[in-house]
Order: sequence, then structure tokens, then C-alpha cells
Amino acid sequence: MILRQIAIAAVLVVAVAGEVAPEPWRRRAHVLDDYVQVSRIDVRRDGVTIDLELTPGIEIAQPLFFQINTDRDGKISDREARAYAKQVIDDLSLSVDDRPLALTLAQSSYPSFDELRSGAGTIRLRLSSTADLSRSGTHQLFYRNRHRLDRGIYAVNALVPASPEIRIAGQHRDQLQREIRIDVLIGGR
Amino acid sequence: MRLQRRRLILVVIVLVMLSVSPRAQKPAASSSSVAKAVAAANAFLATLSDAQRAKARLDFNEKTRVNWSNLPTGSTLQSGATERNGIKLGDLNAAQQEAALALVAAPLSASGFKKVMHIVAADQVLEDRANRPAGSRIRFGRSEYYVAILGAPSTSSPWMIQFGGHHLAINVTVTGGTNVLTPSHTGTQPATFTLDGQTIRPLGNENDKAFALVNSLDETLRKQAVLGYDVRTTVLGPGLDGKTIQPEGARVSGFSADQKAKLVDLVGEWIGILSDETAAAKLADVKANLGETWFAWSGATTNGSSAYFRVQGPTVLIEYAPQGSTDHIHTFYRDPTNDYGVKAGR
Repeated sequence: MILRQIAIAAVLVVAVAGEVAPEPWRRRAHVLDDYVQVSRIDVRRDGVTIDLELTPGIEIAQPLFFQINTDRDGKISDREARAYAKQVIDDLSLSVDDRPLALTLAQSSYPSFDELRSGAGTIRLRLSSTADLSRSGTHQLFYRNRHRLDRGIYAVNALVPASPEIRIAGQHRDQLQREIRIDVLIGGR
Repeated sequence: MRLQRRRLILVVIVLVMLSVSPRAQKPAASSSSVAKAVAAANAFLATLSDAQRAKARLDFNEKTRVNWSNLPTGSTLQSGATERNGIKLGDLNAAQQEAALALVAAPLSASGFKKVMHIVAADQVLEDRANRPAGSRIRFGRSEYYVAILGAPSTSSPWMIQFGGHHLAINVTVTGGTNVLTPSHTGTQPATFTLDGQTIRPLGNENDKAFALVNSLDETLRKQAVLGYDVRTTVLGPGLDGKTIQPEGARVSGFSADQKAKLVDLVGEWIGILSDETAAAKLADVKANLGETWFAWSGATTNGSSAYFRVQGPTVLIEYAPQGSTDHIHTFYRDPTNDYGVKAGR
């Protein structure tokens, strides 16, 4: 078992050594050193769901993969996936009407090492939070993403709510879309 | 008798009014392009072996129709699949490829098919410049574009043509009388290249018309249109069917007639990928809904700059986003009311 892990780690090290300067075809195909993070926020009367897509550029993809794949077996296990999701969640803030809300991981998917290396791999996290938005009137939702501020390219949008009783009355973002304040109108129009 | 005639006239007037709804005008029948598509599909299938046909033709359902992407071959697609639907050009001989591309061309306009093939050519340029190792799992280039038929080609029941690869997803739902292009993806890298001595810009019109539009706006409208934050990627790409975002930017209702015409002309770069008669009906629908359409921009407004824009109305959602540079563009085209031709009841 240990020998197998060493062998796999050795293969990964060799692969990475060849990737310090990524081949030209990868360099041309996709963004190099950005970590694109797209958040889509879905507001319901009983809570908030955030779909977060994280796409690392090829120059940061390998180190990121090793950061996640802590046992160096070349595959991201469920345990490793949950651990990384927790790191991401720890960098997020969500509140409704100034009351902080806890985000929990509902679903996740991770690309393979090869896909990440190519710049075509996206980590997908679905995060959920319970919130009481039953009161009619205006509510304010605040979301902030501080994950990998060194490399992050951010986008955040509120989805049009499925319920006709909920209306997004305004979205206010900072310049870099790291945070958003959403005015939510429940009930009246 | 006179009262009955008045009532009859009134009923006729009401029926005529109800048949013309501004929100979603039913596209005019384009039976010639439908029949052409059916003939081309059957001709293509006839060129294939049984094994190839089994790959090329799949059922048309909620699982198969969403299997499209901007990503290159070898990636796990947003649908979760590891391969696109259908059979790739690289697995077809010359005659089969010709039949496949005739199928792709059948529901499209001449300019639309040209745009599609220029995007394919751009990806071949990307592949040729890259000197990619032969064994690489991630692959680019013309041979990695897939053609698929979902459902049974028919002039009366819905079925679908898919043609896609890196930076391209042409999804045409043929719904027995009209064709629906949404959702679709057009992208390119490189954005400019030379082909047979000509300079090709697969998305050059989209870029130039958008800059012309934003620069035609006066200061008030431009301030409304230009978002106060950086947008550097698209929001509603593959895997996000049924979702929509809040409209932002400038309301087109405040545009002048010339500015509205510029916006419709810009949208026409996506809608006009389809045959002329289908596109005309769809553009009429967009025009009818301009009062509820928004135009948003992020970035500098000098042509040549890296800028994002979005057109969002009741029956159209278009995003255009450079991916880190003006040499690499992604666009997506959706109709929140009729992606995959769902109005036909599929």
C-alpha cells in the first residue's frame, strides 16, 4: 500500500516537474494563474442555497490538487473533498438581516487531476443554509467570498427566485464581486 | 340580427387579438428548413455503419439534450458525461463528414454555418500551434467535433441536432414547423487568425457591434449600462438550464430607435445562425419585447478592450465574456421560455 502511494506520488511529482512551465498548448488554451469563482445565490423562504464553481488556472491547478489530495494517491477521496469544502466554507460569510448563517455542504464534485492540469477542471460545491424569510417585507442578504484572495476572480449573482412571493429588489456588489448585498422583498410588490 | 353581427365581429376581433401575444410570438413555420433537416439527417444516417449509427443517434430526452459544453474533448462535461453525444468527425470518412456537415448546415443560414466552421477552424489553429503530445487526454481541433441526432428525424415531432466541441455547442431542436437554437454556445480561441489568406474573426461581428452599441449611448444611458463592478466570466453556461439571473444594466426601452436597431442587429449575430426565415420570426419576437429587455456592460468601451456584455429580455439571454484576454471568448445564448424547444411539449 505504502509502495503504491510512493509510486503514485512519484508519478505526480514527475508530472508536476514537467508542468512547472506548462506546455504551450495548455498555456494557450486557458487562463493561467487565476482562480475563477462563480457564486449563484438562490433565495427561498426557508433558506439560501449557494452554488459555487471554482475553476483554477493551469499554473495553480497542480498545487491546488496536491493541497486537496493530501494522501497523494492521485484521486480526491470523499474525506479530502469534504476537508477542502470546509476550507472554502470557512472563507465565506453569509448573513440575513445581519444574522450570520451557517453554510453546510450539500453536494460537491471534483475534476480529475488531468482535467485540472488542463485548466478545464471545475470544482462544484452546493452549499445550503437555513434562514427564516417568512416575514413579509424587505430583507437584506449579505455574502462575502474571501477564498484565495491572492488569485481569485469572482462573480456573484442572485438567481431569480422560483417563488413568485420573493423578489430580488437590488444587488449591490463591490468592484471585484467578492461580496454582494441583496435586497430581498418577500410578499408585497 | 344587427346585434348578433356586432357580437360576431367583436368575437372575431378578440380572437385575432388573442392570437398575437407580444411576449412570445410563435415563430413562423419554416417547413423548408425542417424538411431539409430531416432529409439531411436521413442521408447522414444512411452513410453510417450500424455501430456508428448507434453512436450518432440517441434518444431525445431531458438527460441527453443537456449533454453539451464549451470544454474540450477529454474533460468531464458539465452534464457529468465524459464524452459528448454522437460521433466525432475524426471517426468519419470524407463522405460521412460531408454528410454530417450537410446535416449541421441544414437548419442554419449560410452565414451561421460559416461562423460555426470558423469556430472549428480556430480550434484547429489552437491545436496546430500547441504541438500537443499525441497521448494527451485533453484534445482540440476539427476531428474532435461531434455530431448527434437526438430522437427520430421528423417533420412533425420534436427531435434535435447537436454539433459541438471545444468552444461550440450548436443545439437545434426541430419542432415540426420551426427550429429552436437555444441553448447554444459559441466561443473562440484564437479570436483572430488567417485561413486561406483571409483574416478570420469568428466572433468579430459580435465584438464590433457591441462596442458600436455601447458607444452610441449617451452619458446617461452608458452609466446605466456599465455595471459598477468587474465581470470576467459568464454566469449561465452549460449545466444551468432553468436558472436565470436578475436583469441589470440599462433598460432598452430608453434607447433611441437607432440604438434599438443596433441592439437587435447585435442579437441577430446569434439568432441569425439559424435559417433566415426562422431567424426573422425570432428577431421579431425580440423586437416585440424590447420594452422589457436590458443591456449590461462591464469593462472599457474602447473597441479592442476586454469587455463583458449581456442582453437579457423575456425570450433572450446572451452573454459575451473574454476569458482572461480578447483572444479567448465565450458566449452563451438562451431563451428562458423555450430552451430545447420545450414549448413544443417535449
